[in-house]
Amino acid sequence: MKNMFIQGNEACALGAINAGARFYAGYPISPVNELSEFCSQELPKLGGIYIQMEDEIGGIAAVIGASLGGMKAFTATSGPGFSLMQENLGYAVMAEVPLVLIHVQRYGLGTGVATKPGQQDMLQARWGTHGDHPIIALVPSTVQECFDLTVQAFNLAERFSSPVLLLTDAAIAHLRERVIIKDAEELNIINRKTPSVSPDEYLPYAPDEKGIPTLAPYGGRHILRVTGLFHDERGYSTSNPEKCRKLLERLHNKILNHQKELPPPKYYGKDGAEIILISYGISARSAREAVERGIKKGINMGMINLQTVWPFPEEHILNLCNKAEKIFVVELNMGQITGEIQKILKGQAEVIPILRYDTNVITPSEILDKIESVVK
Amino acid sequence: MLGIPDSYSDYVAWEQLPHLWCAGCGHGIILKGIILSLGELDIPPHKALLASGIGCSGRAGDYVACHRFQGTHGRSLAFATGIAAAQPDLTIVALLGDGDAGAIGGNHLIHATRRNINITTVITNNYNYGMTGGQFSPLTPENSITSTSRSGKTESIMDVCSLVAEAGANYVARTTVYHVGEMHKFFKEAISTKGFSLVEVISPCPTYYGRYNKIGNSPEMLNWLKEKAIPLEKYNSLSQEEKQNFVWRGKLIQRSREDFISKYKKQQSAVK
Amino acid sequence: MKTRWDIMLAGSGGQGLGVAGNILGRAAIIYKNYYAAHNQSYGARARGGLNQSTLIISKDEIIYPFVKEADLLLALTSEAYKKYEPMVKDSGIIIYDSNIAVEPAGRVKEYSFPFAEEAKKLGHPLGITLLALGTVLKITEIIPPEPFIKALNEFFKSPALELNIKSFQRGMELV
Repeated sequence: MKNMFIQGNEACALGAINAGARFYAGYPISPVNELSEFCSQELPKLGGIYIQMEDEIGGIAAVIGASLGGMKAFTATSGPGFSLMQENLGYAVMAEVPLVLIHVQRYGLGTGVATKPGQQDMLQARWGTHGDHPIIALVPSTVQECFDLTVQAFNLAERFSSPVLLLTDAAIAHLRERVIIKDAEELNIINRKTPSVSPDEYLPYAPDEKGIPTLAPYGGRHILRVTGLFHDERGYSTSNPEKCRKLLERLHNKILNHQKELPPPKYYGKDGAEIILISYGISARSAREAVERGIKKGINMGMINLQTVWPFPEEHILNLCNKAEKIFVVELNMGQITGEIQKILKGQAEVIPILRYDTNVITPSEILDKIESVVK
Repeated sequence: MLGIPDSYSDYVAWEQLPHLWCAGCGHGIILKGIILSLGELDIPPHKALLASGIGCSGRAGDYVACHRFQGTHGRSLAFATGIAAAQPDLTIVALLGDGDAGAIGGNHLIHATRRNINITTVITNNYNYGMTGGQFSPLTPENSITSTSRSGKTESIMDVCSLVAEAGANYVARTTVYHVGEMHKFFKEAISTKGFSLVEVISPCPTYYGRYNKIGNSPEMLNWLKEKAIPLEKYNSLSQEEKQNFVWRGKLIQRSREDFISKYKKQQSAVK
Repeated sequence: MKTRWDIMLAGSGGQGLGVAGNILGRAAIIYKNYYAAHNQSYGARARGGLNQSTLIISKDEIIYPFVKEADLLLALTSEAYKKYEPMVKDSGIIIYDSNIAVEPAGRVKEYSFPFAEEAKKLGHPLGITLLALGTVLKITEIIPPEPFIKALNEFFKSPALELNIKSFQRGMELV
């Protein structure tokens, strides 16, 4: 364990490495470059591999290949690159390939503003690829959480045999903070399970009792068959309606039935508060500061800091908001997560967005001013 | 003509047959050629991986009993780059279609070649997108009639062999499904070559290309390939004008540039 | 040290403002495991023109990690002085290069020293911000010099290390 003073990007890379990742493939893009540069220098020292691919499509493809070859693998990108990765991200969900994709959100739409932060890809993270699908996405708010949640992302990827997204932003990626970095031995690391049956009996996509397949790495006696087409338990393609429906349901249920294993939101401020702020990522830092100041002014308020954003932590939010009258959602977009909150809290409490989408991080004063103007 | 090794059976997913390819299609011949080559080279099924993409050729993975990977359209070589990095001892054969390799996957083809990833790429060039209804691809000859070029393909053909030879492949050859003995020999040489190797196999699509271009059914298409594809040396001796009527077959290049992973590991251990 | 320092280092690209903020934050962690949060200019701005780097050092957890009002402004160019002077708290301090063309605002406590001139004299113009930080630490006593020198050891190898230590010490002597 050591205390370090590092950026969010570096903390993510260290989290990945300490979680056991030894393969990184990607394509250069701002504001991710400290992360990939770090990997290009550090992975080879550990016997790992860094490959700079011809584009982001190739980046995530190589990561999927390396993961199926038995390595813990990851990539990182930002807006335009995340768009390019969508098809293969869906492929990884379908083929149940463990991997971590770190998306450092920059101010978005089109080429956006490459070095400025945004949280405009929250719904793209949920629905960017075609087809009904589940996804796990985590959202760090501090550099420490960049490290901790990257480690968790790898654990969840292996545990659920699924891609896991880590959504940071340009502000947290470049922020440098004091971080406690645990070495690999001090972390609880989940590794992929290995087949318990003989090669003759092995079916790569036969689910265990938790709905998870056992993907033996390529090159072993257990023959692995992977396709992005709907497939049977042997890994051969199928268009059988019953088999297609069952596979689609299993892909969802393997995660949705075990949501309790995903990082729960953090709660700050007064318990059972009447006014609750919900935020995530860098804007949660401003929201939490606003709550601290508000409480000092005598306002009965609290704050939910999301750690998992997808699947949406509905149960946690309903429980934490059971006494709330007004819910303020703070985010750097035009109301993407606000919509989700409105969906689940409709009728129970008033949901008010506090949004900023001008390339700057929202400030605590802006948030508090807005709350005071509504509450007074 | 060909000795069939005893292990041939071990590579075939017999329970998956019959396959979905049309009568007279060349894909089966090519897949069999790959499997025979693996058997003859004593590469056991668990040390072999067939990587494919999307389209008719993409379905080949449904009929093999060795490791199988079918990626998204055009990206197979990028996926295989990761597989080859994680499992350097695995023999990877990427079986791509002409649209897969030349159009949507053209950039990955160039860069997998340039990086010299240890993969054998087989391009089944049936001059069109068969699975989706016979549209032209970059590898379709100029002036061909296809479902999206009813009055003849305007664009010129992409010579994928010259492209990868220029990009640094260690082995490049072209033949046709008619020249099955030559195809088989090229497959074995390509698989035995470390680094990036490529064999383009021109294959009949009687369902679309043969019909649209009035070449005829499968036997007629095979005869057409027999006439059309001439040895490289002979082709080179023709005038520019005469060349328009033929396509060369033969081995274009064989060399031994160090492959990516070997070089990377060596370089990285030097700086440690 | 007082509970918290909000620091703004400002000048132009190439003066090492980013790395200086990084080193001072690291030194605060080495010294007393204080909390620290550092930000710096990115993109084309880092390569020239107006450039800044902000650092918060605190005994308590830093929730909002950006500097809105500074306890300390180090200004190495007139442009930086003009732009960031209004952000300094009434109780704050400004330390600036005495050779830059500014009319001191006189609102808060101000000090000026010939940083660029001294850095040039040492034959190490790139060490200007580290030299200025010597002055800053001497005046403010945010942290003692020893952990700062320790941090310099983590960042630089010989001969840059010796040059940078010399720059920092020269800054301390200026006061």
